[in-house]
Amino acid sequence: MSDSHDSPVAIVTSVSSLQIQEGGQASFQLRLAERPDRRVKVKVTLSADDADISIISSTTITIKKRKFNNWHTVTLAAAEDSNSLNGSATVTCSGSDLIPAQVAVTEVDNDSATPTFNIVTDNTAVSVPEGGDASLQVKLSADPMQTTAVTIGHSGGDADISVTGGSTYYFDSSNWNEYQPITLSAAADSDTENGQATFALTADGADAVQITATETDTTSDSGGTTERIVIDPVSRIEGHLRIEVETADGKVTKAWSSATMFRGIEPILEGRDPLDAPHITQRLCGVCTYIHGLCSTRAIEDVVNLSIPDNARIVRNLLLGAQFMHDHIVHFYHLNGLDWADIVSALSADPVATQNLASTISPNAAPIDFAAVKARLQGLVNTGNLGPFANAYWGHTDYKLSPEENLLIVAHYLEALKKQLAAARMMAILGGKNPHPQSVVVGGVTCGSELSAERLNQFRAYMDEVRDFVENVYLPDLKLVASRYPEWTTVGGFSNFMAYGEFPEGSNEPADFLMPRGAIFNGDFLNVQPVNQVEITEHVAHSWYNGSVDRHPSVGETLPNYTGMDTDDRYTWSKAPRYSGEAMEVGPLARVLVGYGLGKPEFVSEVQNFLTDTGLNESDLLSTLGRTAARAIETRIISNSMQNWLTELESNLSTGNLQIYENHSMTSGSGFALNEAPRGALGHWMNIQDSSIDGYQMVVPSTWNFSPRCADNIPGPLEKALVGVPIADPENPVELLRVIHSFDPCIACGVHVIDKDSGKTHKVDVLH
Amino acid sequence: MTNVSRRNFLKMCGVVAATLGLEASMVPQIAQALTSDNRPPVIWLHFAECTGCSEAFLRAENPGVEEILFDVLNVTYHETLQVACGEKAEQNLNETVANHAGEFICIVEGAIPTADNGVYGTVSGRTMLEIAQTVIPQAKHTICFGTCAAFGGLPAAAPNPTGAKGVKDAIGVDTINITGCPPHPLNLVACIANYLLNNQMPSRRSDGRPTFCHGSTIHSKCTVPHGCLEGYNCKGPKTYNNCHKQLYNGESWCIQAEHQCIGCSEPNFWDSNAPFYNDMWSSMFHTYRRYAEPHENQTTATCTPCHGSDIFEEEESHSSNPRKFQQKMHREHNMKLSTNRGCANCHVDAPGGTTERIHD
Repeated sequence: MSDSHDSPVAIVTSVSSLQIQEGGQASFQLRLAERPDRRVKVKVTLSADDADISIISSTTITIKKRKFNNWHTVTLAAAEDSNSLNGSATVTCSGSDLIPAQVAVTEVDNDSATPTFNIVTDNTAVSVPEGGDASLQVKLSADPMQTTAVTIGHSGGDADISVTGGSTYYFDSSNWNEYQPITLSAAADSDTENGQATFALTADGADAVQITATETDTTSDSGGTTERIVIDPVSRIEGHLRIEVETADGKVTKAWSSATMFRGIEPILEGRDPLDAPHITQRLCGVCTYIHGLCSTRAIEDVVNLSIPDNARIVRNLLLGAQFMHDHIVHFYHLNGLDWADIVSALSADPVATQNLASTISPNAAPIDFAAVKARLQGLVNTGNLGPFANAYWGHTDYKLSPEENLLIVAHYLEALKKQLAAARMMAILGGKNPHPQSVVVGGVTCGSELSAERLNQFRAYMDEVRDFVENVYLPDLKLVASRYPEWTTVGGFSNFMAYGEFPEGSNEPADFLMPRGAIFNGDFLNVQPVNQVEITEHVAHSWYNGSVDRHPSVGETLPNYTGMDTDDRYTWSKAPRYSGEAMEVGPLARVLVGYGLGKPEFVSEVQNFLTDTGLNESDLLSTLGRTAARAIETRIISNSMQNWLTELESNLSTGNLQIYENHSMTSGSGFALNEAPRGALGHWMNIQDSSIDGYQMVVPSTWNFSPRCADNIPGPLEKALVGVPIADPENPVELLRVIHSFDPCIACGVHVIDKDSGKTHKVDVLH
Repeated sequence: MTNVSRRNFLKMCGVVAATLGLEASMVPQIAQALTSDNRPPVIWLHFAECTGCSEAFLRAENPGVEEILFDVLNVTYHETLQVACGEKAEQNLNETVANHAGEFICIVEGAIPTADNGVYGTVSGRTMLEIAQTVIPQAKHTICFGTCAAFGGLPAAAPNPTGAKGVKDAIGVDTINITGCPPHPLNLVACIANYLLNNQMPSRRSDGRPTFCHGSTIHSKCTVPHGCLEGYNCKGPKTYNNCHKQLYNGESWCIQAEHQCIGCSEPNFWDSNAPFYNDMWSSMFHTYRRYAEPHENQTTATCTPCHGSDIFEEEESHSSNPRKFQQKMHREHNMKLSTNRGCANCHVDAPGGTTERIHD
């Protein structure tokens, strides 16, 4: 970017459309895309069809050259009216020598009205062949006057029938009359019943339409045409995971997620001193280390009703921020990267061309000697012992990167091995060590003498090193993968999301969180719902535990009862958590969608930058690729905020605010903490009686994402996301790994699987 | 290897030599041993664990993971790092066992669940117990990396719901035990370097722990500048490890972060060292470490109530060499360091000062 422009500079807005509740206000932000030659004025004008809408902030914004990048807020108001129409207006932001930007504003009317449009379908009773698809079409009867989401959801009956295409459409004045396709699929099953399911099509402002789908069973007594694939162990994850899928016609029709280890941490906690719990729970997982210890500490602080000093809150945030940076970098390169990049192909790359590629996509990255990397790789191959790279799916037809692109990713794989050390050092400065830092105690933190100017400067140096890698290597590589694998924006998605929120920037929970709390249903991420933890229950109907009722974690039970691996009955030690009865995806995509849907400026700008750079749409985020992208997007959001937190801490310390610990005395009672681990929403519930633990339950991210079916036979997020995934070669199912790894499995945390039946199912067997 | 990376590598070998207590003149030999063309095959088994030990291994520096994987070892099976999954991964394991029986090194992470025939942990349909019984006796050496593999660790904490045991207790095979939760990666590297150099594992205590890293307590050489944490229920005096010497991540360790040692490298520490915080800890911490103040102030503050009083007025060494004085007091009072009764037990004016006796 140069300092002067001949061409006009674009005005950028944080959103392109905005809704205002009648009688309420709403805001958006604007800034310039590039540095202007001189100070400029942006005029904000309104062309309204509805005179009730007005601009209440300043209509002229002066932007200084150096601060072109700062957001400026424009606030609009909609006056109460008596009509029941949703008024609209267009806000135009313009200025001399500037490329204008427009924001469409819609007033959401609060005056009751009868529906002015209906949902129209070409068919309300469809038959779906088992293992196959059927489609119907949907449109509206009239112009909805505003963007209206039409969503189809399973409302009852056979869980084998599901929506595999077109679960949500957005209709507006331009397309309300155009039919859009919805695909229903029936998973292949082993029974010979013709199952039936009902689906509800819903939209705000219209009556729901019921669709009846009947499965026509094709299973004959001589056996079906389906195949089963079992992957056990799934490697490049934390813990022990087994995935079984059924395929038909080269696509997954059903999936079962099982985990194979039980350590019994909850019984171990029983009766111990509550203050020891954080050390024990931290050892649930050494990959997402720290967060369990923090969550446990916060749960105790909830019981004893303790607020910690600001400095302790900031130190904890900095530790967790470093943990996220570490975890996401390692996930992209070391756990997930080689599902997208082929190491063997990198051996035929031209190092000069790779250098040119690197200068194009990541011009600001530190230089790498690609010829040396290639020689190092070749040297390893020449020994005949590929070590951890041996016997993988190299050469699979679905590896799409060029040899040079593969070499670039492999070089960055090695580079990231070094950068993760810097992220771990950040944690060691404030936590003593990584993994399993040891400086957080109930009441605050212990590391007072490590908060010297010298040590915090060292922290900042490591942070800047990692940030530089995120900006100049990780994000460009992610965009490269996104551009080569566009089909993965349509595969492996899920529709319900939940985030508890994280990173308190003040004392109000969750209002002061950087990452907000919220739940999204049916992919409607612009309509984020509040989270109420009493709606969480855990089912055990398909898990090896006694009991049939779903229970809230605070009254949860863990009563193991192994009954054998049977995918039609019980097949996992993982419980099945549900929120309001729904399976929920948790993790980076949930957090990013909740932040985006709620209009948090940090999220809006990062998501829009990513979509602009990749040419993708919002709805593409609900996919394997979207999940992987969200991880990088939030790494950037967190690393930006960490700079502010560090400055705030330094400012406190230099002005004499030195407190890092608040005393307390133990009390009896119940408490909980809702936090975010890098892999998603994490809750600890505990009860303390007479200074010892009397009941402790944890509902961890991978229990949500890798949940088995619940009592109503609704599959868990991964089980659902795998349905429809194409498998080119059942012996080498790299496609399955892309979806599984996109959730970043962490099984030791949540899973307790016992498989006594050692003779029956292992390996990647292909059972015909 | 380029000249630059060669120089770095020699530097790393110097660190390894120092860890093992070898002369600098051994560096070229270590370098040669670490980079021979015939990298020994390694099988890394994951049992009932949290993957923290693998994560610690990933934090290895001097040499780093890249050098270890490319130049030093031929790691054919490691569930967190290997690209192969499922049947192909299992094939890698079985081929290494079949083709290198009696030659390969087995590194174990995590305890082995033994209750109910080991059903509490399976990989590719086999119990962890069965895998351990099949693979480990075929190895030339087995290194337990971390307290869980060596002694049972967290899964074996009371009431030990899954009957978890360390490798030796579970299957009766002698192992080299590098402990800690997490263990230090350089201790593993040094152990392997010693093997490559001398074709034998380093000398060990009766509990299988190498003396170069587990020969003395962290208390015996602890030099943290902000004062001893004994009064804070620190388990340093009975914890055999070299955390204070190695530092984690090249930066710090628990006591530098002003948290007392919980003794994470010792057998049964989750039960025998619990609770980690006692009344003394709370009152001491609240009194003296509530603020991020320079160490010196805190040290003085901690010492003043006793040292400034007439209790010690006839002792000369308390001001000239407080550490020596402290040790003398411990001896005179026959203080049970393991219980950390502390001064306040008898001297009610001492830090943590209560008017009542503190009982364990």
